[in-house]
Amino acid sequence: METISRRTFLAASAAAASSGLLAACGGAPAAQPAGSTGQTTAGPRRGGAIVYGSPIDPLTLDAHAVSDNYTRRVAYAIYDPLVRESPDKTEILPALAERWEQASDGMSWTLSLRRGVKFHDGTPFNAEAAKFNLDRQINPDHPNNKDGNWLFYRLFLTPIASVDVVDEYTIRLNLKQRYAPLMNYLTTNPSYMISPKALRELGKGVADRPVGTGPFRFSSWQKGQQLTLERNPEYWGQTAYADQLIVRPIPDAQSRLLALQTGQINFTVDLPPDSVDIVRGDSRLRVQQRVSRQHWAIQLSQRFQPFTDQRVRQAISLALDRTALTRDVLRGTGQPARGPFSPAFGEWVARDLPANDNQPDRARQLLREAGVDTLDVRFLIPSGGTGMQQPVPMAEFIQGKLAAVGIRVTLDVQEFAAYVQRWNAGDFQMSARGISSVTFDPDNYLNSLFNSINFPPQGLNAAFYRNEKFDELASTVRRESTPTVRRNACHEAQRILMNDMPWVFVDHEIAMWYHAAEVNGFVMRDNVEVDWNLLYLA
Amino acid sequence: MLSAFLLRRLLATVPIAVGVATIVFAVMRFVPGDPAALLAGPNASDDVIRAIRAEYGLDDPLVVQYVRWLGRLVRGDFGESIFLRRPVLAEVLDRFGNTAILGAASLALAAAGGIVAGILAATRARSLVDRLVMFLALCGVGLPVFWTGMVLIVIFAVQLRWLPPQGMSPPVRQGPFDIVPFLILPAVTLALPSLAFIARVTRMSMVEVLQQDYIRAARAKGLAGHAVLWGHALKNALIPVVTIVGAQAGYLLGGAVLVEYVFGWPGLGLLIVNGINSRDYPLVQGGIVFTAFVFVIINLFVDVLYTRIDPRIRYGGR
Repeated sequence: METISRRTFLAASAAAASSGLLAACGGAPAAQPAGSTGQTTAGPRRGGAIVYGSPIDPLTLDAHAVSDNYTRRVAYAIYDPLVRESPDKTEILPALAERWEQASDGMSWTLSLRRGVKFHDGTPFNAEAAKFNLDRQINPDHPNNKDGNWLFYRLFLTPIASVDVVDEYTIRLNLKQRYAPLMNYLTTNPSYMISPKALRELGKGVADRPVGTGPFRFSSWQKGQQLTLERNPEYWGQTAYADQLIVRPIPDAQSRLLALQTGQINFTVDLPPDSVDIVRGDSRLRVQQRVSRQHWAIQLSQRFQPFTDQRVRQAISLALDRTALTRDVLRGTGQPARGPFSPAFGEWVARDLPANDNQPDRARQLLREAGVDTLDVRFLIPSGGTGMQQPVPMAEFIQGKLAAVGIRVTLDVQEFAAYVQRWNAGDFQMSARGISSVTFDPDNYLNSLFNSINFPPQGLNAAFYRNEKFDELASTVRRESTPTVRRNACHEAQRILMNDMPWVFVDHEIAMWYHAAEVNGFVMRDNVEVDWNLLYLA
Repeated sequence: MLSAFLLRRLLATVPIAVGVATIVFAVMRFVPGDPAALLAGPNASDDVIRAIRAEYGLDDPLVVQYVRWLGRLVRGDFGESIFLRRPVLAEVLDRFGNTAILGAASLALAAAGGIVAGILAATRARSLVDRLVMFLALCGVGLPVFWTGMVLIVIFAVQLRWLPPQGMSPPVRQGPFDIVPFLILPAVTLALPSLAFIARVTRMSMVEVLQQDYIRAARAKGLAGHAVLWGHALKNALIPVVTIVGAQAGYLLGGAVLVEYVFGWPGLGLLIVNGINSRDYPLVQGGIVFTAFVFVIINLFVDVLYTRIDPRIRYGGR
């Protein structure tokens, strides 16, 4: 485990290109990443600038204060986490922590830290620094605790009770309760390491003057205009090929496409769905795609009368035509879903789930059996939003399919902020949205969305689904440390979910990245991070 | 005299500011949505959201929040942005400079272009030139800026590649004037509706003035056509035009929001739009109160300008 380098896993990920998960389009072969042996002619070259067109200006560069994916993606260039996810499979890889071990009672984890790592200000990274960073978020008495509200820590890492320094390069995380997905959540920004010296001197000012250990270090930032990062020549891993990483915020998707076409930027994401064909038709541009962890689903509230009948819920799923929806409405930017877990979750996905799709006759029959002649439903959807795909056209398509089996749907389209407020309160009969996971661990989806301890307003089980057997399996996934036990529980939980059908899963978004043909070395990840140091111009 | 007038006008900005502050506070709170829930994201549980609400005092009664905010505002404290966690005033001032550059360039374009086009049309009233100018002016007033902006980008940035499609400066700065090519398209886009409007008003005013007796007298005493036009007619025709140009300055602040979005121009409008989407109450409230303040100052400036152009106008009673 210790010696897996980024080079090795990149070589492995190049192999994954042939697995069908990862595909380079636009007529060019997949770019050969750093260190891999292959048919590359010149190999990675140093120099130049990667100019990334970001949908937003980073909200902060204080790693622990980051609470959105776009900002985290940029912060990842400046900071390293303790551990990171493999880009191509469901596996945790070393970063600033080289090895980790769970105590036999499951109540603590011991992490061995990488030696010889320096922050950008020259101070050493060690166990004290790691403790200082984690304590900043955990301990209210820490001098920098009041710098922020540590959202990601509060969402995922509250089971950590305290941090002990065992020796100069070893820390121990003591838990309040057994927590199997701990290492998965340590891949996110609460574990990004900031220089304690900088924190002591700048406090919350690190938001504008970040000091990390990552492959790029801070150079300058004109808010709303441009963030300029430069290569960290003393990076402990593969030093960056590009001299600079420039982040330009371009909020409008159409404008991002134009900026890419005119060469103002050479790397971007989240373009309008119909731009795939434009980019593919341009020999100077490339698009890469890969199914994401997101799912887009319809929530059927258990507080709304006919939806308490399992036959009605099944009928709604059977009435849909997911293939037509992903092909005609989403123009290939989605993949039909069977459950909450997309193929990106690897072995966590139960293989034997039924399709329950495109059988309108069976849907009508189930509705008849349930004694439902006509049904009027209000369907709450957002007008748009990050990760929501195209809610209105999708909902209109669904409206048509449900009308065909006798369910009259009225669309209730709300602007995103208003939508979220109602959704979080469970204030709907039927709703739909996209949801994504920060990790490939199934704990997040199973427990926060379907465990009955998480009813609104405390939690996000917005359909008010309750099944005691399911709750037990979801709890097993959260607490149990034996992988096979967790996996079996996860698969069984999915079968129950697909039988009960409190949510009707529609599709998984296919994530797309767009870049100039001259940008090489890009390996698409399932999470939001980009290995900025491996990108090069050729 | 003028200073008393100025003082009175400056005092009058106080109720305007309070009124704007009250309205924007009320509107932001009546719109559904919760900044804490948006900040916390789709994975957040209720106690996380509640903790954020408490941190920003969002769980207090609205009246308490309103009085507290207004009290701080009076002391020049615009509060802290919920999402950016930075002082609102610093953010607003940061961005306002960029909006001011865009607005000033557009206003200059609109005024110069509009007046020239208006005169051109007026002196050739009912000719083909007149009809063409007025037709284009009608289009200019009617077309939405986000559409014209996109069309200009496609023509001049994507097809011809003469100008950059968006942003405010090249990745590597080459001095203070490197923003000029970036400024052209957004400034033209933003200027077009105002330019068209100013052209129409100039033409109308000019046509009217050209029929006055003193113009006929000037012509009768043998003055050259251009001397009549520039020396006698224009000065008088410009008074309504100045009013319109002043009002357009305010309009440009509003239009800048859309133009900034299309061109990724890092101005105040873009900041406020992002603030609205994330229900960042302090940011939106602060941004709008600041904009209202600028608007009032511009109007005041225009009023003072009158006295310079038209000696008949005097302020200060009597």
